[in-house]
Amino acid sequence: MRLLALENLCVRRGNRIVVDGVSLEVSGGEVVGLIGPNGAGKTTLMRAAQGLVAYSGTSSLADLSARDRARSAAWLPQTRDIAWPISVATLVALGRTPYLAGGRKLSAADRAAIDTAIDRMDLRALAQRTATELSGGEQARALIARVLAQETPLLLADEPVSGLDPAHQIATMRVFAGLAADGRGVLVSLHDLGLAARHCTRLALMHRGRIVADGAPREVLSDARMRDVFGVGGHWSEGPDGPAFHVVEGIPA
Amino acid sequence: MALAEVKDRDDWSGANARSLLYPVLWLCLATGFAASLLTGPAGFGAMTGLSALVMDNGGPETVIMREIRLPRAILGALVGGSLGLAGAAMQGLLRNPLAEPGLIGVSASAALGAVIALHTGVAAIYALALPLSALAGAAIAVGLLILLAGPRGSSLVLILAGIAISALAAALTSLVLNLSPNPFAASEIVFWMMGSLADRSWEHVALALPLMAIGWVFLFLTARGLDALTLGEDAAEAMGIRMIRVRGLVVAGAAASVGAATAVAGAIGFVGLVVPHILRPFTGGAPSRLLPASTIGGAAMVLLADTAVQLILPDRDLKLGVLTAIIGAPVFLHLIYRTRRAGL
Repeated sequence: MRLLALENLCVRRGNRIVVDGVSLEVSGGEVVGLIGPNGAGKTTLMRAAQGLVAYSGTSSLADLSARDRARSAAWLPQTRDIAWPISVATLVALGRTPYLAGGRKLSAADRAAIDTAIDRMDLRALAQRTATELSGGEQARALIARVLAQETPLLLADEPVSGLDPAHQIATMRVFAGLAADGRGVLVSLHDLGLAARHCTRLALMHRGRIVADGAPREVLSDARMRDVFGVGGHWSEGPDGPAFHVVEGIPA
Repeated sequence: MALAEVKDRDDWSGANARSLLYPVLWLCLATGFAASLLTGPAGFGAMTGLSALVMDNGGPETVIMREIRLPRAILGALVGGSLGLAGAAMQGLLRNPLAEPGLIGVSASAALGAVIALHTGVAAIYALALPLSALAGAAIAVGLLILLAGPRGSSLVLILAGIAISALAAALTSLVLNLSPNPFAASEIVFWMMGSLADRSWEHVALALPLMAIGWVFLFLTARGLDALTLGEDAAEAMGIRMIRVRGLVVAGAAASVGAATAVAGAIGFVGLVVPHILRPFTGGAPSRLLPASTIGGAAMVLLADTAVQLILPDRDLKLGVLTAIIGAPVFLHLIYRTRRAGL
């Protein structure tokens, strides 16, 4: 099932075109990795797809009403912003906001969703702690749990694993894979290409506001693209648990 | 997973402190209200006063209780509740514990309106001219704010516009003082600006209550939005919260309730800043829970302070706003010190 369809999406900031005619689709069952160097337009693309910045072109999500959109897609911004000293459980419960219009209290279904999200992000032991007093990585996990609790068909996450320890990076990517296995879709921006190559079903490579490649990790992370887009080299190898991709310093000739 | 356990986790840490919060707040409010009713220059005992309040004894006690003290206590609760609630909502909207309801320029503009009424003398001709003029000032400030910040303006633009409006209103107030015809007019203006609940009547209650009620409704409607805003404007928007609506409700609600409060009682500082700040740790930090707590807390604080001004210097007409500032500022300094020590 198609969960997100962008067609010729453009975002201008002043005179600069930040996102330049992007067409992209995300369907259920996919974990699509959005990769590209700093300033490629990944964050702006994901925000524009939800109508959070002014854009031209069409986005299936941004056309929805605010509440329908919030029930169709959850958004994890890159900035880990927690203004008040609330507990982790309360923070995760905020994910139920789209379902609580009109002063409704948390239902049993809401509580179950919150519970599942807390378990999925390994936060059981931290649930009662004050979120603002946790480490950066723990806060990141709590914020991921919040978007999981929103239980939307589509999840958009901006750099969700940066700052996490290796075990939790892999665990988070596995959670995304689990969502995809349930028929949901994930669009996730990543800087760790090894993680992206390994855990994403598809990669979309952005460069200067355009999607320059979209396909299986093997095809997208070619030597030529690594050189042209990232200015580094890449190397595929057979690791102990399947094919692995490494970034290498030298640029292959 | 048993539901009871989930429910426990949904609550915030410090469950004991929280379960005691509302009983303590209501007790403070009841104490403040009773103290306000039983304090005053007329020398009669508490029992005489209460019985005169309940049953008309045909004497001066009933008039004093029903026409002077009761409206004063009710007005104090309303003003304090408005300041506490608006302060909590404003801090939630701006995601900043140092925000206060006057930040959007409403208090300063309401004061300007009142000062103009005093200066021109209409306040002396018609008793409600002063609060009405203050309300007009608050309304103009909100109009100007919306014009400056725009409906889509970010919170930062809102703050800057509010500061600009406050500065302009303060400058114009100084101008009026500067041009005041005689020292008596000037001192009348200065004393009014210090804020007081003395000599207020049911007319003031009737004028302020509808506006405050509208403001309170607006502010309480933002509870869910302010909670979502804990995670930032982007995340809140993506959770289906329309920020334009939240911002509009907070600005309009704060303007109506604080504008009305300033119109009837003058500028009473620090209540809207300190009360949410004190109560936040006991509410688990979430703005939605802070709104009702801050309302009750603000009402209790103003009532107790108003009783204190009458007890400390009964003959010298100590102004309520002066006392709240004298108590509020050090409390606030202490809170800042504590926040810094906590490493935040």
